[in-house]
Amino acid sequence: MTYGGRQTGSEALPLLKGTVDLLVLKALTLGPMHGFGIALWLEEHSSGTLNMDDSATYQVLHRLESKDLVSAEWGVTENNRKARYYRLTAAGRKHLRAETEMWLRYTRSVTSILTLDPRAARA
Amino acid sequence: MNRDFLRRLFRIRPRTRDEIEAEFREEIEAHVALATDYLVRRGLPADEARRLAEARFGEINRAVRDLVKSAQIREHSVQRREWWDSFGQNVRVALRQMRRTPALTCAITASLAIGIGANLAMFQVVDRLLLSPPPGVTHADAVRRLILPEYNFFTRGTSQIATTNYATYADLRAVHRFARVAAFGFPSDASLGRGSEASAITTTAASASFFDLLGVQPYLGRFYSEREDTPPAGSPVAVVGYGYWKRALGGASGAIGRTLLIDGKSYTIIGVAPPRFNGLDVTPVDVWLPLTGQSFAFDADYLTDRGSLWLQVVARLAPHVDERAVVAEASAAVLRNNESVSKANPHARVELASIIAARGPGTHPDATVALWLLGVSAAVLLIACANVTTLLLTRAVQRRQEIAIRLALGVSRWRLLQQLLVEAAAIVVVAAIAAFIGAELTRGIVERLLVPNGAIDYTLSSHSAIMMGIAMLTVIGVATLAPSLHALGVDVSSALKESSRSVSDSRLRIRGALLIFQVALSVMLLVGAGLFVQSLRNAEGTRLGIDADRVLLAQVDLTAVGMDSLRTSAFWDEAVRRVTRVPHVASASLSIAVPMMFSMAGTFIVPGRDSIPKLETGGPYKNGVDAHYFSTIGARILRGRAFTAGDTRGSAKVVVINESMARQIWPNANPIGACVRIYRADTIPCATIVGVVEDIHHHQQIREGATFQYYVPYSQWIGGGSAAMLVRLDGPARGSTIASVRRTLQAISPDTPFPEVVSYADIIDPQLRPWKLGASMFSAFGALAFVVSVVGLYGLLSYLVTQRRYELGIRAALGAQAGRLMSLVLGKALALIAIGLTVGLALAAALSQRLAPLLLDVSPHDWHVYGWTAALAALAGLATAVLPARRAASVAPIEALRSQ
Repeated sequence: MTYGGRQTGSEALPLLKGTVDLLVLKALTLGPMHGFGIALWLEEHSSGTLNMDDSATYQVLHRLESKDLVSAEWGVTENNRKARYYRLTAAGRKHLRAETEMWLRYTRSVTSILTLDPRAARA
Repeated sequence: MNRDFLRRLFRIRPRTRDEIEAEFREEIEAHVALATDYLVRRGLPADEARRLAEARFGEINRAVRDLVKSAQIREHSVQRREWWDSFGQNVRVALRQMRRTPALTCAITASLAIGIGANLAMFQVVDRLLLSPPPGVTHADAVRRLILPEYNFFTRGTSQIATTNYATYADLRAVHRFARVAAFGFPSDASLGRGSEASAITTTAASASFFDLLGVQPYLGRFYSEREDTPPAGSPVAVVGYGYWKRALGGASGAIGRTLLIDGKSYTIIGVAPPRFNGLDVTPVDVWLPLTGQSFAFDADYLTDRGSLWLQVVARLAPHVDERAVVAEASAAVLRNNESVSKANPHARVELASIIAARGPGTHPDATVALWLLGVSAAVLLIACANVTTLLLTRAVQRRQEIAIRLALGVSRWRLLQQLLVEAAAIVVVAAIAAFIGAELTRGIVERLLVPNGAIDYTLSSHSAIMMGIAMLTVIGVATLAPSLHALGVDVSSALKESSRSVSDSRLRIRGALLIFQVALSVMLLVGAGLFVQSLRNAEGTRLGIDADRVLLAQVDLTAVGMDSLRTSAFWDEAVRRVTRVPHVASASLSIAVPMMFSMAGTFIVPGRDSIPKLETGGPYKNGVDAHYFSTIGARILRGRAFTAGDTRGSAKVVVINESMARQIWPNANPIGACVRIYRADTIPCATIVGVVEDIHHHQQIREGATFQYYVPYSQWIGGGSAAMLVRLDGPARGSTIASVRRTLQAISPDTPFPEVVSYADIIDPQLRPWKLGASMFSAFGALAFVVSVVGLYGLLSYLVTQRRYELGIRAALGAQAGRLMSLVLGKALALIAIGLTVGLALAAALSQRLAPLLLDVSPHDWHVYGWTAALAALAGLATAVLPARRAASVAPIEALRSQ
């Protein structure tokens, strides 16, 4: 299932602070998107493991907007519904690049430590 | 592009909370609709899909609340940034405006700084004297000074005075409605140590209850206890003042337990009083001694004597007590044991007065003068304020078209007003900073001038800070009022149409009115200055009978060290011999009583007459003086002769009387040769009057009523009394001469107490102070205000000539003579000055009535002063107008017309 009921138990991952900002920015690299589109995209690409209300997406979007990392304007969907479309600004693109770089370096080092063979480490 | 940037660019109003919330709700609604659509496409029934979409979103209301809150925080920070941006812009514009006319701005700021600084200084003095209770006193509002009825020998009634004696103090201690009663003496000079080591200190005697009543805590050690202050003789203990402890005892805690030799008696230091504590007085106290511990206390029956007045009494009221009941009980207590008072006035009452002495009853010239000077400095501030108004107004007029354009472009009038306020505030803040620095730099001068023997606390009190704040806000408000009205009243279409030439007369009228106001105020101050200067001249011209500036008084308390009369007289004979040889000393002379300091009542019986006239000043007073006395102090012999070396103990008894005695007892006759009896005992032969000397001042007063004084030769003096030495110098007294006289006296005997040597100029100086102060401050402020007004007049006339260049050119072209053009400007100047003068003189005449008690032999309406002020103002005004007038006369018609 891709969008629907809430997952519970061990399948749901706790969210690390600040990572959702990054994920939302990443979603917007595909082009302008409305809030629901972003929520759907996140749901699909995380296979539903992000335990997050849709409203949280908006908190993130407005925060990013206030930092001028994204901009927004009202538009119409293909099904003729009104929606507020968000797009990446130049600053947002730059921010995403820098943060992704940092995230990858961080996770690489944490992963390499956590996956060390204890015997090899002692040697 | 950034939304906030665009918003600022176009000055779009920030969104309201409701607008923000509406947009969020709309977005959320859209979200739920999209999610529902999606789920329906996935095959869910519509109502199920909607329910799920809403559940997925989370609590909508909470989400909206959170979003609105963070949006508002953002909105506020943007607004703050915008406010600071526009504030910064206003400041920059203000500074640019100031740089355009730097000299004028500086002059106006400086005058404002002087105005603020003067107010600050005067207010601090008034605050210290009249508003704040003495430092260190807790719950001062429950403490009262007692004003007591004392028998008045001359009126045979009672007088209400603040001083009394130990007996009355003891009566008052029994009053139950007082929580506590304490007594203290006046600060007095005492000698510390002996011989050449001796120095002078200020001591105050205070009861043990004094410190407790006022609620002060010792800084170090302890205060003395009731047991140590028990009659007839308390313990020889002393509490030193904080300042003295720091200065003379090195601020060491080891000072406790040390002994001080004060007036020949040893006292053990048991404590240090807290900083700034001087009891109820402003004079710093070096040493506090128990009331019953002072050496003089052992000399007399001071416990029962009701004749001398040497104590002030304070009381702390019990909480919630009825003051009328207190007065009744205290009055009864005073009358019960004091027969002379109760007989003279059975209804005599005790009064409860404020702990702040300057609030009265009775006059306090320092406080009165300080209040006046506060008023004067307020006037200076107003004048400076008018200058700021003129400056802003001129700019507002110059910027009329710019303002109109900005208004037409939709800039709000409030924003224009902000600009004005910032401009005024910038000037005021700069002026206030300058004023603070100035006050800091001149504090010594102000202190010496206003409270010479007092310690004014110059840390900025909360009173002063509040007053400064009010003054600054007032200046900003008053200064921006007219320009604001002008800026707000700009009619866009007419302002854009009119040329700069046709600026309407109303602006000039405001400036003219401001100028009249300034002239009036400065004329008022100048009249005040004139009245004070005249008073000072009268005071300084008063004949005291003593050449105050070149006569010294030297006193040594020899009885304190137990010298008998033989040794005392030997000491003084030696003193005269040695001091006469000191450089710059012209002569030295001995006298029993001391003019302006200490007098002795005598007997004066004219044979064949029942009595001599009785004077309000009491007396007659007697004195024993040596042969050089009158020439030493500079008193003129009007008739007959002074004493000579031939008037010895064994020679014929002679007497010299003063002018008042001669005039009132022998109105139409020559008293020389008359034989009068100056002792009650019939066995002592009469003394022959050999001379008449001019009146010598009896009190430390510039004006005093006539007194009867007579003099007998020092060698023929009968009865006790210690001597004092008077020293005549060959020029005005200098500190070095005073010091060498003192050293000479100290060298005579190793165990003499500290010799007190002062010049009569210093003794009389406090009496001249109110006039000196008034004359100098009124003159300084008046001159300043006047210069400021003259500058204002010059500016106005120059502006006028520039504005009317076109008109003047036409007049010149039509054949008007230069003289007529000049008189046009001169006439305008004269008219302004005349109105200002009239208003100023009228105000001065009305207000100076209140100044009358501070003046000496000058009518508050003295026409000389008013006449000279008017002449000065008119002349200065005309002189100022000459330059612009000449410019008006020299307008070349062609150029003036072409320039349009």
